[in-house]
Amino acid sequence: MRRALMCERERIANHLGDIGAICNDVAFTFAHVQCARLRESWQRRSGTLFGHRVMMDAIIPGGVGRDLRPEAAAMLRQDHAALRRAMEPLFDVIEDHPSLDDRLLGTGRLDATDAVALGCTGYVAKASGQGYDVRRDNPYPPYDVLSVEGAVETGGDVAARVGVRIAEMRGSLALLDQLLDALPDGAIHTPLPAPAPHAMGLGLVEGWRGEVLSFVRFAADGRIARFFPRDPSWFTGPAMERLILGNIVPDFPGCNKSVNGSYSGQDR
Amino acid sequence: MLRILRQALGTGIVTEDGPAGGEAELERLGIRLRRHIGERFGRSLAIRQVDAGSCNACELEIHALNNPYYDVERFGVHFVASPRHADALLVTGPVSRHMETALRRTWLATPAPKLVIAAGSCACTGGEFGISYASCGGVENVVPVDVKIPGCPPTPLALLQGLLAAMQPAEVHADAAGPSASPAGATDGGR
Repeated sequence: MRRALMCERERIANHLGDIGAICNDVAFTFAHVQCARLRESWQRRSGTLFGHRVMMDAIIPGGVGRDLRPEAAAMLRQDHAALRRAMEPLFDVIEDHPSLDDRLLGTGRLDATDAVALGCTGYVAKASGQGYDVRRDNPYPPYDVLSVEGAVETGGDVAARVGVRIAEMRGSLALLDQLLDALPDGAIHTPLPAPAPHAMGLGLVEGWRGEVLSFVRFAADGRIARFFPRDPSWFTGPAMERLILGNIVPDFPGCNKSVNGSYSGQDR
Repeated sequence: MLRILRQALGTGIVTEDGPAGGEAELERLGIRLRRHIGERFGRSLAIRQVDAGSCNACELEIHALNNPYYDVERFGVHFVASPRHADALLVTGPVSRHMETALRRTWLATPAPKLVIAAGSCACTGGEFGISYASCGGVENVVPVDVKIPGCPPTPLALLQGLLAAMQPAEVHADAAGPSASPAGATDGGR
């Protein structure tokens, strides 16, 4: 539950940043500044309550790094309500603004067959009609007992990828309140048993960009022999090459930001 | 248009005061300055950010400097799109072998006098990645570093503190700065 709380917070923070940045790339700085403001206050709260602004070392093998303070639930609930109040008028503007429509609608289109053929997940696939979401379709705790509303659009363009992010932010805020209601007491960390020689493990979660896969293999002495994290950007990178075809150069930044692939994941 | 005005006016100004200066504060944040050549830049610093192999957490916090809470441009700091327009390189990450040549060429493309600021623990020391088949370690293993801002990632406030310190005019370090700054100055003066 605590892990999901952090993951949904991360999803909201990054979607906020992306929505603003996409608007900024088509010179609509108003939305960028407003989203950056909301993101900053959100990250400050993560720093205070979870110990790190971008949640590093907050999720660790066997559990979470530290527990929430007793008063945290009330503070978080206030935050959720405040963000809901603040973001809806912004989304009203973003979803219905002629200059944004002009630049985002029909730009950087990825059709459904390409999204499937390239193995895309996350907001890139969801904006091209592929609703697969690990939290709902291959659920892991605690999502197996929560109702995850998937976001899906069919436009396949930058506007659709903005729309998916907006829908996911609303969904994550709903999940955050459900998680707080169900937050259990008890240990926040279980000591890990020593791994068997040559043991292997595979983890799949719905990260904010899409399906994240982690593979680990241990050596005979219990040390890690191989670790491979696979970010959704492995698949959305090639999709980027496909979706920019036929677009004008000034639309490249918006296309790029709407995919927002991780360079550190696979590019260097 | 009315909705935008209503939102903007309703939000008001959220920008906060800049951080307190002083050596003690720098020490607390672990920021190390090798030289002060700030007066050369006329209290304005054009920065080219180079991601030499970071996990992008440093980039998130560098981005945050431009949000309305920190509003880094009011201090004369702005980010530029080419090293040829830059006074300083702000480098993050342990330098991956793939980025080693690119970083060196970026440094060569930056006009002198120039500053190199290493941001984040990886850039300062190589961090948990160190030196390996894929990593050259800290930035100073590839190009000379003038300012180190540690942190994983450094908070926007620590970054702001480090940048402002880099822009301070030479004071007690004036003598130390002289020799190291002069070759760069000579190149510049020859134009």
